[in-house]
Amino acid sequence: MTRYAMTVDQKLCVTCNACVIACKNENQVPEGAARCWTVQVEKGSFPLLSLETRSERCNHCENAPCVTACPTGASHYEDGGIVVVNPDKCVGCKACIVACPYEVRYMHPEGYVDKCTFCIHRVREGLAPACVTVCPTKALKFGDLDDPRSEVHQELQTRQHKVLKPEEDTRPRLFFLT
Amino acid sequence: MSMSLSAIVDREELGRLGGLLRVAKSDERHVARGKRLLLGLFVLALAGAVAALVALLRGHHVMGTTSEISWGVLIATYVFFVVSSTGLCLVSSLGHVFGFKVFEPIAKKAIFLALVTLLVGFTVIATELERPFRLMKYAIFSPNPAAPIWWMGTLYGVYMVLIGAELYYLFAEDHRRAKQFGLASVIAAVAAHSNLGAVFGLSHSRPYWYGPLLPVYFIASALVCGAALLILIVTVGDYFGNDKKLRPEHAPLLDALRKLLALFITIIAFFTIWKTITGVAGQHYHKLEVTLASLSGPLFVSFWLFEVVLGMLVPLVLLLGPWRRSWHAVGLAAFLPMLSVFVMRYNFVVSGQMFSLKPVTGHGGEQLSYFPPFKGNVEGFLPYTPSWVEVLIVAGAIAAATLGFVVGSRVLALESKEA
Repeated sequence: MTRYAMTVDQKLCVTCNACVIACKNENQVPEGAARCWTVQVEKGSFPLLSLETRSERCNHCENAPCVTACPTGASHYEDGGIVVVNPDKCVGCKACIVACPYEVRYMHPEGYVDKCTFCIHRVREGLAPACVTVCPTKALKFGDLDDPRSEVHQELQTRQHKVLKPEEDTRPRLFFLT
Repeated sequence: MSMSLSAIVDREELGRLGGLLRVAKSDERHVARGKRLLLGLFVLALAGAVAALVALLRGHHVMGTTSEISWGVLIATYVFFVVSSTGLCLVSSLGHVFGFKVFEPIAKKAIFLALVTLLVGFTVIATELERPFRLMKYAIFSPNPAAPIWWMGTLYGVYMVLIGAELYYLFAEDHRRAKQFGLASVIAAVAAHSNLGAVFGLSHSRPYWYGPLLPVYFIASALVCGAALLILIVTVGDYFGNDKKLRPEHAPLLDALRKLLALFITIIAFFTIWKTITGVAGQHYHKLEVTLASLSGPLFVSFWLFEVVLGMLVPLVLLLGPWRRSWHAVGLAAFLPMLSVFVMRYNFVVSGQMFSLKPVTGHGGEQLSYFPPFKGNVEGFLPYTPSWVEVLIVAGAIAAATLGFVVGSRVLALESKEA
């Protein structure tokens, strides 16, 4: 079974925001909203400081609170476990926005909730998501977790990694290599 | 409009309404003032309707809500109206369902107002949704039974049908059927309203809301609203409808409602105290920050003044103190908790979202941290200000519910068949 996932190498990410721009162009993300963004997290206190840098988006959780909260099934799991909103079924109740522990969703001006889709339209054609293709340091990798030959599978086999808010038991498919 | 209103509400009625604090007379001046009052409510309701239309056509552009605080004052208003409807159904059921004779005279008016507030509540939530009509379609053809919102909507739909039937049989003077549907309404009301609590209580990502407390707390606040609104129906009704004198047969009813309201407010105070203590103790992420938003942060005034002082302390003193025999004091003591429950709902809905789960000021490279290095730092709460459209919808909804009740109870002659 295909299980799509993405890895973000925090050691390679320089928060250049190329992924943010590529995503905006590819998905025509409206002004003021973003499906993808970069963050810098300061850790520790002086003089033992470190800076985590990474690119973030929807975590495409295996146990997604947004899918549970959606009254009409507009938020659902697509092929390979990608979490997608069907705009035609979305009633705009915003329960998913409130339920998401990562706050990755926004109201689209056309009246439905929108977020990262792992560029599912590209994935179906065998292409990688837009953010992955433009990353200048190749910090982003995309592939099938269940395919031993995929880059994400190999990275997770060999590298230390983490997910955001593991205590929420959402089982994210967005992994950060540390 | 004023013509048609005065056809429904007779001249004496208008005179009393316009007379307000002075001795009621049906002279021209007071008739004119009564007309103006009803007309004012009508205009406000109309303004609300226009705002609702704007909201339906233009969607969330016209709201003050953001991606972070996506449930605003309209959600709070919806909760307020259905909390009122639920409370009216529950408290009035003491009479015609559970056989406490003292509550029986109020049944029709209570259930009628329960229906009015429910319908107004539904209208408000429809303006808040981006695609309300789609919800009706997909709630049936593509339901998600895992979603608390689906249960809440479905159960409130069932509840609406049941109180409709209850009201019908109350009018038909079929007391056996009215009692059966009354009992069914009570069960549906508790199920629906506790599910509304669960919409928040099952939000695992927001520890301030998450937990078994909210469904119970919602029912408790419904009881406050129910008792308070029944007191208002009796006192305001007699003030305008009985020459500013309490009808003697209403005295035992009012006294029973007074004691009930005092009890329900005490229960809410109990919940508030423990919610606050558990919110602060243990320094739990999100719980602590949101609780501090009320205790010492941006919601300081609306929590301490509106929730605690005006919502609990003053009403309890009025209801139990030396003025408890004054029905004016009891009427005031019933108005304050209604105001307070509205503010309580607003604080509750908005504060749960004020502390970002991802404390970031905008997208695209800003500094943020997932687990805030501070404990108890109340700066950096997300802002939310209701837009004019939202405010007008709220004001219009309150005016429409009042007007609907006043005019409806005349048309249906709820007064004459009672007491």
